[in-house]
Amino acid sequence: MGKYIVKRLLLMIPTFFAISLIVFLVMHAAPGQPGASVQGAGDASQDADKGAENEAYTLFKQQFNLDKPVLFNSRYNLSDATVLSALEDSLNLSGDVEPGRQIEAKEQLTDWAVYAVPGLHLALVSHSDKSVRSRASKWLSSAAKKRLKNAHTRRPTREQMEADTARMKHNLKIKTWIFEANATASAEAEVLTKWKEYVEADVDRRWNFTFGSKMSAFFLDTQFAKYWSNILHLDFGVSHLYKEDVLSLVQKKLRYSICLSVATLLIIYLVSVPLGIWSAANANSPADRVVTVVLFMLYSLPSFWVATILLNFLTKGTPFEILPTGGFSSIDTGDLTTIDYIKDVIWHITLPVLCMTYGGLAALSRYARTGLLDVIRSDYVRTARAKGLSEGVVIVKHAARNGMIPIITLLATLLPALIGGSVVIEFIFQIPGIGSFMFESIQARDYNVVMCILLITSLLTLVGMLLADLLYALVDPRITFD
Amino acid sequence: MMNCNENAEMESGVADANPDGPDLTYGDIVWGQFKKNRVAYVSLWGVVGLFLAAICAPLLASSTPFVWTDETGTSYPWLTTLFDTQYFENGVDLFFNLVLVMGLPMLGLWWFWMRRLGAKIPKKRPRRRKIKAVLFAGIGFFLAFFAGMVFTAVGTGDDSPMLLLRALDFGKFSGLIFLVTGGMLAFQRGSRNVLIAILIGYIAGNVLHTTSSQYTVYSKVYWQNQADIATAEAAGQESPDAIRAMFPLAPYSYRQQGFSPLESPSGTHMMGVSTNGSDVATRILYGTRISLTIGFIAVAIYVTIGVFLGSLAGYFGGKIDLAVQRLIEIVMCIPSFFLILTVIALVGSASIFLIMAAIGFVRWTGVARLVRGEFLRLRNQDFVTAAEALGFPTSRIIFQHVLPNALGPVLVAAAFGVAQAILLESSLSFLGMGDASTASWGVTLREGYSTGAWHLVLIPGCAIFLTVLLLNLAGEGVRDAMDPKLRK
Repeated sequence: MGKYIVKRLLLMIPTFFAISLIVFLVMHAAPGQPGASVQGAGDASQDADKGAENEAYTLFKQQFNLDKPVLFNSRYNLSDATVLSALEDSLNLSGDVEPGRQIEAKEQLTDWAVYAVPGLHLALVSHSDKSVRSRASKWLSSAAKKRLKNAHTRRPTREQMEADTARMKHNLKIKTWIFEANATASAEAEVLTKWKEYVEADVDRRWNFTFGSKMSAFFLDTQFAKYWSNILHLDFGVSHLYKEDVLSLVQKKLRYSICLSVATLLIIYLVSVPLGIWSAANANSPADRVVTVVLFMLYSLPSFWVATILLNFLTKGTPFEILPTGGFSSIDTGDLTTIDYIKDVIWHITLPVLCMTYGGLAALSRYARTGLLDVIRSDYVRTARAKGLSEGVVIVKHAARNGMIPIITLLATLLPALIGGSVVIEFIFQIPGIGSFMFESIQARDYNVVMCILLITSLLTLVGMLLADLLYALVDPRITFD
Repeated sequence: MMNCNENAEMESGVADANPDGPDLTYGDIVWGQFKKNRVAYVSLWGVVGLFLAAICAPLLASSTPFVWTDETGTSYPWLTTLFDTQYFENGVDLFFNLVLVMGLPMLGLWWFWMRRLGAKIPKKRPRRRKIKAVLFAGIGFFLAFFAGMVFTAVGTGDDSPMLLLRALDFGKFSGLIFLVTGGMLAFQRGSRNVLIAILIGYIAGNVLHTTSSQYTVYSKVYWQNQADIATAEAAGQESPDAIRAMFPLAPYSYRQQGFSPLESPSGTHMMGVSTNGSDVATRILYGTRISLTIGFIAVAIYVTIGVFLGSLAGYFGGKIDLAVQRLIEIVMCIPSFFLILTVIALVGSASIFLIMAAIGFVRWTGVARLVRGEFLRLRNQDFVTAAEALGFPTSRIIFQHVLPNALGPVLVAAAFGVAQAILLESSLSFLGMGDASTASWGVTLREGYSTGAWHLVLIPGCAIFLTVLLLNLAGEGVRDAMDPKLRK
């Protein structure tokens, strides 16, 4: 058993990795730049054509690693000619470059950053046109910048801060190594020598790629790798919308959702198991038929419709106003005692839980019924009856224990549905849970939040599935994993 | 035993070797069982009825009149708007209209032909003949469909030469369809009917040509005219010339707005008016098309994926099985509603085709698991070993021998899946993530949610509920019919 658990836990790692890969690709295959709807960033992306001078846009892209390739980085192969043509196109010297290409070239130069340094340096040294040389010096001063380590982690350590200070100094130093197109020859020569020294000093360490550094750049200097390295630090980034750490936000919201889900699950199992047993014991009686029909109707009732009707009927005063229209608790709960607070919460979540419950209840009680019916036909039940045991004892003690095993596995299928499927209910009843948070973030294109929620709910589902399997073995001694 | 029967039927000609034996295939048995379950049987017909309603929607609700008479003469604008890409923007609508114009008559003809010849066809291999006929109908239909799409795509825009061209093409096009239909009939029955078919095609083409060349936007004129008459009569003046027109039962289009918003159900608007002033009854009727299309096509997509991957995994086992199982686990773990929501939101323009694709590519895991399980069960049975011993290619063993036997549970899952997909689409539309340009029921229900108007809450909800209930009942019927324990 222990072995099995360890095996399953280990298997979870590649599975989770693959999930994150799929989610990441889905997010990045979608058209539109991440963060495009964020205020400020939106302006920044409009200003992208202003080129290297646009610090804000560059910073924004670097902050979210958007300047890097998504999965694989082959920019170490960047040839000097490519950089040169991008540089020339961005300046539109010949005057016949399409505006689209011009913007694209600028974007490329920004994104290539450090990988473009040798090419830019070559242009700086050898290009015949002075304006190109001048622009190359400006691009160089932004491309050769060192990234600050702590820019966006949550809790920088002392060493990180110190390293960052050094990097900041370096960045400030190279920022001044530029010259304008109308600068004097001596000024230009001065800048040139500085860059020459700078590039040559680091030629082996930063600009010449060995096989190892190529591989590490190829796999690790990418958006996906950066995202993963952040996840390993439990850093899911910052929400654009709330300007807050995503993980703590999600934790906050998850509390409400889990509260709803647990209440729903409890009610589902507490009602459907006895109901299933009862209708199996009275199979094909008129009462059982009525229950079957009613449950089937319930199963087909769309929950958002029921929720809308209940909301109209019970909360808005047409004709009743006995339950709150939404929310998880009253707005002002500061001076309530714990018991009053719990009462208040129950009063608030009655309707949502009701709407989330009945569908699963209908399905599960049917499963319980068929599960028990399967068992009732078996030999050992007949033996129990033949011994002269009362029908109640036979059903509850002998048959039900075995018959209920299948519905335990259903926990695994119910769990993701409960975590993910309550978006509509949370939306209708304005519960600040994970579903409505997800919905809100998707609409605002808050990528970090969407990624984080998808990953965390997937992880919860993975764990839930494992638990269901273990539970299965626990209640049925016939099942072993060895 | 039933496996062998099914298999024998699938193997061409083996059934003939035993003409005296029981002629019941597994499918026949299940169908017989299904028919005994009255509720499920009625539900199945209910679903068929929904399809009919979806197909016939323009007959019941359209803002263009069947017949229109004014001082310039009589015209038949309803026919022309059926394939007008400006009137019916949505591809789904055009498709259903085509089925209405071509498919239904074809179906009628086919049925008539089957009935009339029923006595003459030897009982030997009715199924093969049926399959053949359906195949031809299908091929003809799709040829016609694509031709129609090409023709309707030719001329949009209001400049008259293009419109004339389109009208011309429309006439030719319908003639072509009738030719295809006639050709099929002739292929089946004999050369005499080719002449009849060509004649019908020629006449129909010409009639349509003449009627469709007088295109204008009619309904506005009609309403204006009615209003003029009313004001003139109220003022006691001489009323302007009346325009005589025959409209469908609900003379509105689902995109037409401008009636008094949130009006309760009344004589003119049977189910009331929505928030932005369109007729709810019309929207509900056309919503049937959206729901059914989404339900069936999304399920078709994921059944295809699921069957493919599941059968590969179950048949070959080993590493392929492991890989597929991992893939299933990965996709299963991502909450599907979240994923669908994300995909649709990020792509931005939620067309119903995107919704279908999103549902289809996310929800296949259940089917794949089912098929895999069935394949694992069937893999070691004697008929597979026999097929392998006979040296059949693997693809043939998988698709012709094992797969037909594994499809039972898939059929059940698909029936429930259609209901689920319809629910999913309406909840997406309810959240405002659906295709707002369509008449989806979820969109109407959303209006009910935000305004609290009773007719906007109850009517679309009932439509969703009924559709889902019918599909679920039919699915349950199929499941029971396949369960040997419940056989009556």
